[in-house]
Amino acid sequence: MTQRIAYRLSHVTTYSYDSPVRVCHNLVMLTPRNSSVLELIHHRVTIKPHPLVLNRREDYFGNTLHAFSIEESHRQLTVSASGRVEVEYSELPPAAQTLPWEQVREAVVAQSDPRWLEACQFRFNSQRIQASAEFADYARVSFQPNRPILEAAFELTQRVFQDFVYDTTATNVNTPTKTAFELRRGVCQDFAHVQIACLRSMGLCARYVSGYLRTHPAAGQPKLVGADESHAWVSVYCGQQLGWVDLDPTNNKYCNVDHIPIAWGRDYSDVVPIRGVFLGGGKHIITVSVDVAEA
Amino acid sequence: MLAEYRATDSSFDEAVTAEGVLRPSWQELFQHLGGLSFTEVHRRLAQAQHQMDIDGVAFNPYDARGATRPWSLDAVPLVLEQAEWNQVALGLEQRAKLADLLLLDLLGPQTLLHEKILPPEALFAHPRYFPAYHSLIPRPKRHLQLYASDLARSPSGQWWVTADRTRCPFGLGHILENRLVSSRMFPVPFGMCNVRRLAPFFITLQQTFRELAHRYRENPRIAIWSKGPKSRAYFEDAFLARYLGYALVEGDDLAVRDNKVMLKTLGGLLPVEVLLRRVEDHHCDPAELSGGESYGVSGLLEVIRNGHVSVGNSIGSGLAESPLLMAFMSNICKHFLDQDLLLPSLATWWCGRPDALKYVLSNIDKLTVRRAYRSEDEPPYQPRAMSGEAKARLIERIKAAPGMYIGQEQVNRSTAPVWEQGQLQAWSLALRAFLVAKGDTYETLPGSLARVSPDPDVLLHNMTSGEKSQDVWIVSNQPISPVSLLSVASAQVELKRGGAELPSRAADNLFWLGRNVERAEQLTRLVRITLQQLTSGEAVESAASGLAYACQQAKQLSSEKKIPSSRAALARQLVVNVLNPDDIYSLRNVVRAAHDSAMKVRDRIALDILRAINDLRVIFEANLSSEEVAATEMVSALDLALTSLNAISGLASESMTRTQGWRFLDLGRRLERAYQTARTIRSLIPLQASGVDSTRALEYLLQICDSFMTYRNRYLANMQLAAVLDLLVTDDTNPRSIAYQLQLIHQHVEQLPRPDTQAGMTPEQRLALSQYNAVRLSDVHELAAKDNRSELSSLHKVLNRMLEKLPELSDAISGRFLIHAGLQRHLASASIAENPNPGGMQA
Repeated sequence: MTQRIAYRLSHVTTYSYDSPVRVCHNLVMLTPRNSSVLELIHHRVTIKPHPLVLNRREDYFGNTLHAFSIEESHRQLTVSASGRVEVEYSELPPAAQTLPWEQVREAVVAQSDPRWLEACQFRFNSQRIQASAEFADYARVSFQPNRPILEAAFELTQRVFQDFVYDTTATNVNTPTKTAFELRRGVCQDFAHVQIACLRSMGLCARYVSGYLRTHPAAGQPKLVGADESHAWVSVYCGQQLGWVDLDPTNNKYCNVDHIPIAWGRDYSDVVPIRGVFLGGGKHIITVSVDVAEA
Repeated sequence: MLAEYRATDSSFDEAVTAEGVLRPSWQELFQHLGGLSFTEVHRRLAQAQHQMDIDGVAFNPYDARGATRPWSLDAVPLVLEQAEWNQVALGLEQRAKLADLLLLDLLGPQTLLHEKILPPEALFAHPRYFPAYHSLIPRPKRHLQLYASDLARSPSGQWWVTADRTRCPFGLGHILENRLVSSRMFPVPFGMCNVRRLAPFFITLQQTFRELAHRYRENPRIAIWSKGPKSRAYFEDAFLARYLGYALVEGDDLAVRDNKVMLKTLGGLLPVEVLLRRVEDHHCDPAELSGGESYGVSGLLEVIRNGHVSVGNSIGSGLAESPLLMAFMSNICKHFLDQDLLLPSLATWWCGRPDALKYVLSNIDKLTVRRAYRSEDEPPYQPRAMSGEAKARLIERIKAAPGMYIGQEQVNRSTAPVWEQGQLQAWSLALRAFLVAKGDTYETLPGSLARVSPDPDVLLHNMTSGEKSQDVWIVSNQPISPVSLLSVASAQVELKRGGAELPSRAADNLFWLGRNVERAEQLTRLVRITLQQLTSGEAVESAASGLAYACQQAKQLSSEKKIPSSRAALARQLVVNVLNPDDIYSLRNVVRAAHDSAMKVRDRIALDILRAINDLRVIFEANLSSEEVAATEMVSALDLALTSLNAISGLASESMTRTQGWRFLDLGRRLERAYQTARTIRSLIPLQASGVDSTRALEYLLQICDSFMTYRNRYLANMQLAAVLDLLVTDDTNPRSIAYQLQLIHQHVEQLPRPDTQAGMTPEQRLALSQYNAVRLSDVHELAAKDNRSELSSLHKVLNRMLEKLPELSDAISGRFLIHAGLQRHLASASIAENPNPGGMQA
């Protein structure tokens, strides 16, 4: 059975400043990523006030990026991203039938897996994620010898979901992964970072995915955590055949038609939805609205 | 002299053969040195050292211990024969090309990874790797304009590469300085030996950087992008900027506007075409890379991608200096060039490979251990010299993260004769050779940075103390034609005056230099006269308390504490306050602030001024410590300080061209002098002037304002308030009067650049003119007259207004010209976490 769901996306971010901002330089990563399971029907990013320079390009990982500069004085900046995507339901093999996790790891290390180069860049430490013995100890409970990789990885997802408290006040966007791990608290970004750190500490390749969740749950389903904002989850490399499988530790789920990936990278730093610097401005207030509706 | 020189048996010696015979290329030099007496060599060396100290004073103020240039120049140059050097140069050129190809590949198609010639760790596990580097592929396709290689010579006479430097190799400025000094020290042999000149290399360098420009190739604006005065390389940055004729800029001087990189100057924003980068890769653009650093230029990477500015070496080129790459260099060479390495690397084992790890651990005492990536300047480890415990810890660390370490073969370095304690000694040698891109290959500098040390281990690390540097003479058997950078331009230079290109930051520092020097001068006079009165037997009590009050007003005495009644205690307290390092207003810190501002613009002011300011700082920092200084001792120190201050004033008015830079310096001085004079008058001539020994007070006032002699000449001993006020306030022929200052301020403000569209007067023009007119129109007799409450109300009214308006004028000038950019901040990302950190800033 193939199932396809179309979504209308609307994501509006507004920065309101106390005093005028004279100049800003920004990078925006809000365009959903085309893949075998996602088709980007149309999408546009509009910026107010009108930017002096606006470039659209792909970054090193193939994510779509908009770079813009505004040089007219402004007190409010609005970045709107809207469009339409179609997501296809994808069938995963039973977790118990996937490869032993050590085999996946060794094939990448030994460069015998044909996709080793693509996978291995997500195996090393990155700006926000440093592998350590503590993460490995936590992960090892699930990664018993010869366990099928997906079974182990999903159990890890479940454990992060169970052991960690979703708490929007415990961490902020700059909280180190290690701190979130020690606190056993955080938001989707922290959950994803922690699970990636665990996977990499076992020598596996794992990447950070930013994206959206459907805002209105399917009939009879509970509303997902993080549905009204940008979301983030984990993708783990399961070997040449199966490739990358996405797991959502915030919601204790395999990602499927409810998840709409925008970009992936080694950690949050590679896929920040909106980043940049500005001159002037005083204090600023941010308001975000995300709506992902079945169309 | 040579007869006593003993090379060690186990190493190669640069000057003598194993049989103890002097090598031919050294004969000319030694013949000449042999003809000089010890005292003569000493004299010349001392002179050379003095010259370098003077440069040092000018260039490394932040480190009294001299970490920016710890070595001294040795009297003996290092001589290398041209024919041999040419062979080395071939190897170096191959290596520079390889390093460039390596970067083009790693940040491009990655064939080295695909074909498993390099492990993926070489790129992806680099702690300073950013994917953004991939999108910055330069045009023309070259990452390295400059490349350097560290060399050591083994006992067989073979040169080995011990390290590659690809980011912004350090040392060219020092090579130039060494050459200037050594050619002066030994002009005769320098002339006789056919020493290859350095200038052609720098001509190529200029050519190469000029060609990087996308526009205005004839005369592009090129800047050396420095990390600023606190960085170790600043001496060299400033030196090279002067030598090459490039602007010396810091991140704050640059801004991205209109898709270009702009230099913020007084005349507005001017586009920069090429940046010679001296900033670490990951600090270059806080908007995209690490963030939070003050060296970078936000938005720079996007401008590079759009092709509107060129940066050399390219951002990301530091990735090619990882020591782990040395383990693979020979395979990389075969892959790209199908050649063997002409100049081998020291044998290197990257512990990320299990067999290499095993080898390193079982041979650890024979190897040097280093980090696999060069991120911080970390000294290498010498396990053989480590304690058992430290070695065990190191081994644990290697085992925990083997990919982060390499083991490297040790080299028994060659020795060279060094002039030490009156004789020639054989010290170990390290060379750093430099190359610059030229056409599609590289050109080697005929010279090197030579470092010599009695301890070969220190040479493995960067520029440590206890070592010396030698000028390297590549000698030819052919005569050398002299070249100088000045003769490059065949076309006539366009004559330039003015200086609208003055960076706003430099203007700001000059302005504050002026203000702080002037403030220091007035405070010095005030404190000196107060201490003199407090320590002399004949002082009059009321006058002394007037001075104490003036010191309080000038923040040299705490106004919260009660003024001690005993004169000795008061003098004591004043000395302590003046020297208080923790009080930002203390005279000591005013001097320090002046010194700091001067150092930030040392490329723009005369060496003599820098020297005088340095002397001044030394008086307050080195010679006086507030615990012990007696008041009388302080007075003589203040005498000395005034001498330095006078020298600074004299030099500033006589030896600086009247550019915008000078204008800001002078504006600062005039504003401060007017302000200080007004305040001193107000403090010493109180509103209710009764009960004060006014004759004394007026005398002090005249002395503090340095107008006592003028007054005596005019009025002899007849002290009258109106006459004093005329001299100090309204007389525009007295260079110490307020009117004189305001007149100059008005003139300066009129000369400042302003937009053509400006209609009417700017706020600073209006303020300057109104203050000037207010003083011109005042009547001294009226000012000196008491009102019906027998108060000097009109005098105080005028002074109070001035003390209120002058700071406004200063702010207006700063606001318009000096603060081009406010604080730059990062956008918070609320879209992920609902709880942005306090204040909502990421930075």
